[in-house]
Amino acid sequence: MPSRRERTRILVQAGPEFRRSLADEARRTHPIDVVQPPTRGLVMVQLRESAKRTRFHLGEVTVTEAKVRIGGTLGLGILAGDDSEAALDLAVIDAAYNAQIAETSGWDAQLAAADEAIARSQAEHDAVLLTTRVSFETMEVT
Amino acid sequence: MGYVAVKGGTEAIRASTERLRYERLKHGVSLDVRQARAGLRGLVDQVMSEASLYDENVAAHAIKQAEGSPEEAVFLLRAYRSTLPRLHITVPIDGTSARVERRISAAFKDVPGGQILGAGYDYVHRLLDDTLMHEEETDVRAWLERWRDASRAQALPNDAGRLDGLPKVADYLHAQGLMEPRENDDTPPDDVTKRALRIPASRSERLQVLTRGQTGTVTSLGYASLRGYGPMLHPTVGELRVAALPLTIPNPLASHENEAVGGSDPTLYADPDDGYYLGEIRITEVETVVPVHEPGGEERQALRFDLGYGACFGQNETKAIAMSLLDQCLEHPDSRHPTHDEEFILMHVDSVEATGFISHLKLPHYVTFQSELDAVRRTHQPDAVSGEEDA
Repeated sequence: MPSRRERTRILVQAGPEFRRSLADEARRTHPIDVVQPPTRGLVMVQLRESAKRTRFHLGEVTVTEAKVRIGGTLGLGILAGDDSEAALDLAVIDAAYNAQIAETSGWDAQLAAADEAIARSQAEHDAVLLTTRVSFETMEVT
Repeated sequence: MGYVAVKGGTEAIRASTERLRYERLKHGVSLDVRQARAGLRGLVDQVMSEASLYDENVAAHAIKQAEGSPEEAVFLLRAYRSTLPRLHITVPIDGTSARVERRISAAFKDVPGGQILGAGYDYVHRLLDDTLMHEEETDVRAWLERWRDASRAQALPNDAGRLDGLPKVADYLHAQGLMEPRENDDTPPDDVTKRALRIPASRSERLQVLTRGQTGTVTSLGYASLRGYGPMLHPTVGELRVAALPLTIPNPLASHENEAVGGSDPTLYADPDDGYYLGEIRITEVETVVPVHEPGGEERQALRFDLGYGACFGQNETKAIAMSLLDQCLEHPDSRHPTHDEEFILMHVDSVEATGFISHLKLPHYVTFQSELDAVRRTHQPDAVSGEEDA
């Protein structure tokens, strides 16, 4: 089972259709109680600088956050930007995992497949970007 | 003398505000926010950086409303930001976790992982491209198709290299023993948006003020440090990277059973693998290498390197380099040089503070000025002055 961070990374990067398909699977069998409708807010980015290895605040990023319950179990959905549907779908999936509903047993394989597609797409992107890798040569001083 | 309020002018102000809208719309064209975001990337990045708020759509919206004025757009974003609650703080993110889009070094031509030029203006001719005057969407689509085909044809094998997790050039200097090794310093960072800046500032406050500084001001002050308003030797950009930084927050629903490990700071004690991934933001990060002479005996001086650090939202390379110069300057306070004077630098780089104070000079100061006028007039009336004195 992927960690929560890996799971949310795949879900955020995989796109709306994939998120919606998992969330709808949970919605079909479990009533969803929206605790906090999608809300805009800020997350402060904390960076570790490389000169003295200290931490500082780089600035804030807008996010959309939602919370739902499945049974008595809370789930959180949050992502950068303004996307209410994504926040709700993420919250439903998180609550489903936290409540360990039966549907989640089949989701890990789907997440792994989605992650492979993301990795392939990223590798293709990188392969094009790497055509700008430069090899400088120093000239002899005469 | 204190300020004295004025009143009146409501109708004229209303008409002036309408006039401002007219100036934006008088050509019968409405700038599409999506077009502003897509086509004004440099301005969007600059405004997000100076506003200290990352949201490309909202920044493009502000740029449209401000008619492209960076200072007005930054003001709008800062005001917008003040309407939103801060929900979380990310875990401390190391720049090496970012996915590189561009990475260059002026110090080493062969860096592990290679130099990636990515998208940059360094080697382009600064000549106006006449074709842009009549560029149509069909031209854009056709160019994109040709570019994608050519890119696919030229693309390296998919295993040619990874662009995430690339080491820093500074790591090489550490490994060579040319720089002091550093352990993580987890002193809780201060936040100038929560507590007003005080001098002397902490390192975290200095870096936060510089990263949200006005681009032109930070650049000019960095330039001044090189021109002799500071004792700095010629610095070298060890590494400049533009990269997509992944953001993770600690799990706010988790129990605090690990609290003892990291004190009261959940961004330290929480398990990052249990956190929530939010997405990526593009940042520019710079490490400037500066040679530092150290006393090494009467005959010789040992030499080592220090790093200056700069980072900001978006692709703002000149600002990030200048920030790294000022970071290095402020690490060595020296009241003889303005660029090494923390108060001089930090109190004057903020866009909203600087433009706000300068702009307020054009607003009504009638009573203040009237008193000055009276004083000057009195000096031009010798009889009156002597009369006053007699009285």
